[in-house]
Amino acid sequence: MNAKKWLISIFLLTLAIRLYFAFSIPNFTYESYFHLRQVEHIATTFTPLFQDSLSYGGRELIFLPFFHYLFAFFSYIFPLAFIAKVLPNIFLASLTIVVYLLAQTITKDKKASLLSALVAGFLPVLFFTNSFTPMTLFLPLAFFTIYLFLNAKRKKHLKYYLACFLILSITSSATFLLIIGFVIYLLLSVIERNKIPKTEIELILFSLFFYMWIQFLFYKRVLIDEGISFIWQNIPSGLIAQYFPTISVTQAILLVSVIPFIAGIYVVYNSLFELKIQKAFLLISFVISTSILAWLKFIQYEFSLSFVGIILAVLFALFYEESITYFKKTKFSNFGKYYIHLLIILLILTTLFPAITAAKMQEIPSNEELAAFQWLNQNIPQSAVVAATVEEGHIISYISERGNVIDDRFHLIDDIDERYKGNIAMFRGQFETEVLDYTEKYGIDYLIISEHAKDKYNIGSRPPYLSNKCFKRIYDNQTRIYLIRCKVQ
Amino acid sequence: MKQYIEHIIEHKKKYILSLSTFLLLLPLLLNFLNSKAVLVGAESYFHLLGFELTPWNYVIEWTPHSLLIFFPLFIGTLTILLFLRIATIIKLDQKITVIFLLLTITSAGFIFAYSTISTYTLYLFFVALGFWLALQKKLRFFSLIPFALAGLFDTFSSLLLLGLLVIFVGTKLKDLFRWSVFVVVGIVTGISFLTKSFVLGPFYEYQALPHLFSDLGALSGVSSFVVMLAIIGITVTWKKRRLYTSYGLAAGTIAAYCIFPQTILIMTLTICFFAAVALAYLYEREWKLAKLKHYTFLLIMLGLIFSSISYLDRVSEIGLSENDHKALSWINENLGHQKLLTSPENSYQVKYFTKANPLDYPHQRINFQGTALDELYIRQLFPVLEFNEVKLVFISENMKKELPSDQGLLFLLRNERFKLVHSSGNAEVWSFDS
Repeated sequence: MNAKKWLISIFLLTLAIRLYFAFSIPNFTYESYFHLRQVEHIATTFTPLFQDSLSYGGRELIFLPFFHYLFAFFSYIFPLAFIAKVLPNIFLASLTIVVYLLAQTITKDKKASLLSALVAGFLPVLFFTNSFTPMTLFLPLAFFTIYLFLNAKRKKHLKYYLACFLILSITSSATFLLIIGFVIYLLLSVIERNKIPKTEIELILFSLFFYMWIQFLFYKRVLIDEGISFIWQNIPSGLIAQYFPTISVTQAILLVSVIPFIAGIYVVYNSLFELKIQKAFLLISFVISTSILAWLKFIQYEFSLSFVGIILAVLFALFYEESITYFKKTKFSNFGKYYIHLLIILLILTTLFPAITAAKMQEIPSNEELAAFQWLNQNIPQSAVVAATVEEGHIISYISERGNVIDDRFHLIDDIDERYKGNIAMFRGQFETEVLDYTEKYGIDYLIISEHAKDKYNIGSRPPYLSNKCFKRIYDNQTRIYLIRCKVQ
Repeated sequence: MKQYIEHIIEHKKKYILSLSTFLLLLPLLLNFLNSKAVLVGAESYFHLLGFELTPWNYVIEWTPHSLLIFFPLFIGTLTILLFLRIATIIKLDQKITVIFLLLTITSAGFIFAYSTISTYTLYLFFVALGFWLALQKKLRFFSLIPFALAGLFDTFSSLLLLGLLVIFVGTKLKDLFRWSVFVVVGIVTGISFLTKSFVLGPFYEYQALPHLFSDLGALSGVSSFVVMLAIIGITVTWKKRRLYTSYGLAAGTIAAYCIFPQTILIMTLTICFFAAVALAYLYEREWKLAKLKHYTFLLIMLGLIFSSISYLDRVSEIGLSENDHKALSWINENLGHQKLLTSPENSYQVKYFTKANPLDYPHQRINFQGTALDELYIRQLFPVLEFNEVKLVFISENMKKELPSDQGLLFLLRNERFKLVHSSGNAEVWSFDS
């Protein structure tokens, strides 16, 4: 069976497993509901929802809309609920093909490249099957762009590179990872006295200025209002540790899988100090840039792991090539033909099961919780404001179609720390007056306490401050909804 | 692209002067139309109040007030003209000259400095005048006057001038004149070192990195595109020996800026210079992908224009608002020489427009006001107010927006010892019962 057929098999196997989990696990991850709402709005009005009357009770939203326009287009052909599960998984499954192409560019070894594809297909950190976010498009597209950059000598690849980079720049601000990676690549090349092709320098210059210009075009207001702290997305101080946790090596190994992790570290060390493979330099530059940015807490930990994980998958091909060469020199060279089989078994054991676990551990609202939000849609006034956890904010906007107090789009919210503190008090507060102060300030009419909220804040059936006089329970089915009746005199 | 660049170089005086005049008049006009004080910036009022003896004191004394607002524009125009003449005489690359000037005059640092009364605007004028005179055979000894005046601002400006003279005089002139210049400037530097602060100011609470980028909301600074180009400029000229002295000067400027961010205008010029070098290099370089060159330059131009327009869009928000001035007028008409608490950057304008006396000023580096604004409890705030006999609190509209309402000063104003005596829009005047 030739390499192409093996690759298609790996792609289809990855896709099949992903789709199985996507459809067997109901609903989407919490942040997906924001993007679903944007897609529906674009499909209806052809413009993104930059002025949102529901989020935070009314605010300006700024985001890059290509992903949403793409899905709005597809939503005319297929139901959104269907493509929102299928297409992101196709995108992420296509990483197997992209990683194969990248590995092939570096090693020219088809077996090694197929192994890399297999690793990429089952990286636990990427096995978020129910996530409908621009990351699902960004990651495969970013690596495809890197592949095109490495082969930019060909005119066709050059044109595709420009097109892909343009799309990347209007899909996610995380494109800056590529820019930083390119810069580190130039630095490493200068240090190693490697001659950098003129076309690469010119492409990097163009990419740098294009990216900067697009970001300024969209995020001008954010940059001016928030200054340099826009890097941390105006995240409330109480949530910073959650978004930028302390780096745990154990967790990193689990999410990236132990064999690719160790193999990748070995290859990076080898390539920097002994082998001089120019094309590997670019990928190593990305590892260095992502690691530094994650360590400095400029990018979120999980995202940095996703990016590094894919690169380690590509570098696994180099590891295989070197190890098989070494193996042939040893006494056990006769058993060389079993080496790949052993590797495949080890990879499946160390990646597939953690990947399945990762898929099952996605944070997703249950059907019962969504039913409660649906009940809100049908039973409370249109102008009502509902308080819930930060993650559930988008569900209030999308399913309940009512105003929320807080959600995870923090940019341009002046009093974010105050809002967040008040939001915590609604679940953990001890005193009714403290909570009523908050509800009156933000015009909150209803409070929803889901099973997710109870688990997150470790509260029993209800927070201690809740009195029947001021909080009338109007819905009770595991998730409880309260009408707030009192005002502070 | 080539024909446009050659056209601009040929008519550089016309384009550069018209653009700079327009860009410098615009903030003044916008402030006038918004019924604000035409001159903004804490540094302007620092000089108007005459806190330190500098050549600005004499300019302010001798210039009618109605013409004073145009004085920075006037010296900006003269400085540009002088620089163009100097560039022609020393045969500086015309492309770099034009690009450098275009980048400089469209930068927030230049627009802000030359639409306010700023230390380094007059300094740069004297330096440019001095060098121009030094290059005229018959007038060169007259350059000692502007060079001496340039050294009278602060020690840093004297040292910077000495550095420029080392680079310039060391290579261009070798006679008695050279020694005279060094002696005069050396003496002035010594006097400056003994009698003046190293750098005048600060006039605000500055932070070096955020205040460097005008795109990130800074009052001054440069565009991120210019910074990126400057980094490219440094890397491509790294191996050029004749620029090593410039690197030394640039390193000194950067080090000074990191410690004294109020030297932002000098930093702006340094960054614009290297950015100009980069643009000229990228233009002259033979690109393998010729079409990409055009697109890259288009993006750079768009980015620079975008940054400038973005800055001009918010330039009218700088300084005290119309309501703030109404509140200050009320203080001036109704209250006497009382001690007043406000945010440090408002201190100079409050002192200039009213009879009240702010608790302290940023350049004194005492920071009583800054500390008082950060106090969370009345048991911490009241002793500070009582000890300093503060009778008034002025809350500008900007303070209302930036200070937290649920803690700190704005929350503590609810105490019965504070009484709201006047408000104009969101600007408020409170009395404190000591």
